[in-house]
Amino acid sequence: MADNAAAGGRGGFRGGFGGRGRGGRPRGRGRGRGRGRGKEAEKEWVPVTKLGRLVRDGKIRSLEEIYLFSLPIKEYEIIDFFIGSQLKDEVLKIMPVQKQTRAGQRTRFKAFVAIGDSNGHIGLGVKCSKEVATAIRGAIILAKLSVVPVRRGYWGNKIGKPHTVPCKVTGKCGSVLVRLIPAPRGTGIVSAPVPKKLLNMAGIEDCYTSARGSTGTLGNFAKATYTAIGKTYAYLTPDLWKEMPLATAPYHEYADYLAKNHRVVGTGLQ
Amino acid sequence: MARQFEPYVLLGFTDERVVERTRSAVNFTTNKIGGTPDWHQDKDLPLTKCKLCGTNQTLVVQIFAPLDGSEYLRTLYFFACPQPQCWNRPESWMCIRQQTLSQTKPDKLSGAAQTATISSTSWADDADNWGTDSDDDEKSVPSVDQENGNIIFQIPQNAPEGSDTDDESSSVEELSDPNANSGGAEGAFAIEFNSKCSVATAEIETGDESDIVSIDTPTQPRQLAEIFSYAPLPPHAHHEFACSFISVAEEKFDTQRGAKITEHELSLLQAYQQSELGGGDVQIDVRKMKVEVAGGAETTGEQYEQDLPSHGDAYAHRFLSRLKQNSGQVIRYGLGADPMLLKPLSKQKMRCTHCGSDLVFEMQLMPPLLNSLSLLHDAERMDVLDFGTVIVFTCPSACWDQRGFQEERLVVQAE
Repeated sequence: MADNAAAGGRGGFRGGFGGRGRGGRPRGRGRGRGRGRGKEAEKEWVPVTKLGRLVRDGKIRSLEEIYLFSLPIKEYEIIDFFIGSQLKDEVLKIMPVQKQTRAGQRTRFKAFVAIGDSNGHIGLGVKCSKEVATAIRGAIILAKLSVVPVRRGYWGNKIGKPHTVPCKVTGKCGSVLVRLIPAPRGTGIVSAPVPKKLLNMAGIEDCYTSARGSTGTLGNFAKATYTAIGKTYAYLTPDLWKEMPLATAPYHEYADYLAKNHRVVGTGLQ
Repeated sequence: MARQFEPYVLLGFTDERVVERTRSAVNFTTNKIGGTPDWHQDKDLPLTKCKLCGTNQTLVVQIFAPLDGSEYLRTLYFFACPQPQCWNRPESWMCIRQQTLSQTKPDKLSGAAQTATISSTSWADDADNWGTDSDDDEKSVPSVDQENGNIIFQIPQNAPEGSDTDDESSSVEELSDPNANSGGAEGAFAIEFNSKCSVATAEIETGDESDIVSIDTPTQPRQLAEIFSYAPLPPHAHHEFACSFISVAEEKFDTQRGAKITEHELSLLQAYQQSELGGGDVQIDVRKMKVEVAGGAETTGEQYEQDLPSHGDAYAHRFLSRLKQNSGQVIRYGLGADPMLLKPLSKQKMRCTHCGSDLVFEMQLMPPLLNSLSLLHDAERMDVLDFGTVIVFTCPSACWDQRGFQEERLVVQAE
């Protein structure tokens, strides 16, 4: 009780900054309450982006609102917050790849992870790392960051829930071209194993596929399928032809907001 | 040789709120968030004004950071304009350095401790603590009554296993709002449950307004302006952020964790092993928790690939990944170290306006700081400030004239 400074009690010394760090220790002790060096199971999410803060405070009602305005998702916890409980991840492939360095060849592991909730969301992540565990962990995070919505439609009569892709879409990556074609209900997914996994996770029940190119390159094959599935919402089908009234031109109204917040990636020196 | 001078990095975390009892412990040697600036020698400097809009600037952070080998007691004060239209602009921020000669000879370890123990006057008295500190987990669990009669219990967090005070204060703030939703799905579920329970009667009860009908049709989506709406603050009022202490710890990266496999990953690998794609490539040793992967790269043609997240911003991804390894950090202090950047810095050399020497990175403010900022007189206001990171470059020789204060160079980077 008397030695409050040592106990770090209220009003006690909390540790300090300063000094040039010539092998010195930080002045005094910090709180020493274990800042969570990763050992603890589930720590509460501390958001670090503005979107993360809005999501955590409940100002954003669903993931679809974020997609509607194309806001970049930089924290994977945002995805976890909305659909985390329904997401299922799966490793598509792990393989060693070799990188040429000055000191010879260095082997790393490349992991492909697909994630989806079988109900309209799909993500694909690729990560290279020295250890298998790190590669998988990193790939899961990247997969969550890349989650996109999937539009489903009908092959024929509009009875029941949508079950197939709304139209023919193709995706291309490298030399691989993947084409998704609507199929009647009950067909199932007619494709190679890799796209089949992705289409299952996306929630598409029936689909014909056609692939061309070097489909042995699993990376390109998976990415081409992912791109094709993502394009379902980009395609303007006739039922969307009806003109919706525009309140104001969005870029005009939110010019200030966009100028501050949406910066073009890859340019701009501070 | 290089090892000896390698700068280590200190991280600041939000500690408890400054309450009446501990207010006496706060002086110019305290590290704190918000409040009013504690100037050296109690000489009040005039309030700084924002260069863009003229509103009075608010103190964001006060850091006591004396340099090794210098006799000066040195404090840095960060001011920012809280008006929404001035956020993320470098002109609305200011960093002021004040220093005074210390009375005693600077002894590295005992000097600072000396001033601190003199200023600590409170004893460990938790009886009337406002519930934001849960060091003692035997304390009674605070419960919050919601408007509809639900009582929510705050689960006491075990101190040694450490969740930050940051987390606690944020969860308390969440619960204190009676209309807080913890997730959209939960609200919708509650509405459906209510409608299923409502009993159909022959008589129409006119006074019964509590039946909630669930509507399945999609509603008009909100406009962007509704989500990101920030009302401007009254310009001539004096705004102040609620004051909290900062605790300091060294930056550590848990390298051990990288190699170990968690159960989830192990189950993923086992599923992969069974699947048609995996095959015999992977050998898993469950007891030793080791995984071996065979297979050649030549046959598949796969190359090493840089991981680029789908939002395309490699800088932000690197920044956020590194930040999450020590999550909750609000200050990153590393005199002479490399700053963590959200955007590349311009190449031009920065020079001290006073003595002309090259400026050196000292510290930066990190985004989790925004979770701890709230206006003192308007606690309901959600967003009071915004930045990606605020980096300060200081004069390494701490040049000082008798003017009483010195401005330091700031770089503000938006997200």
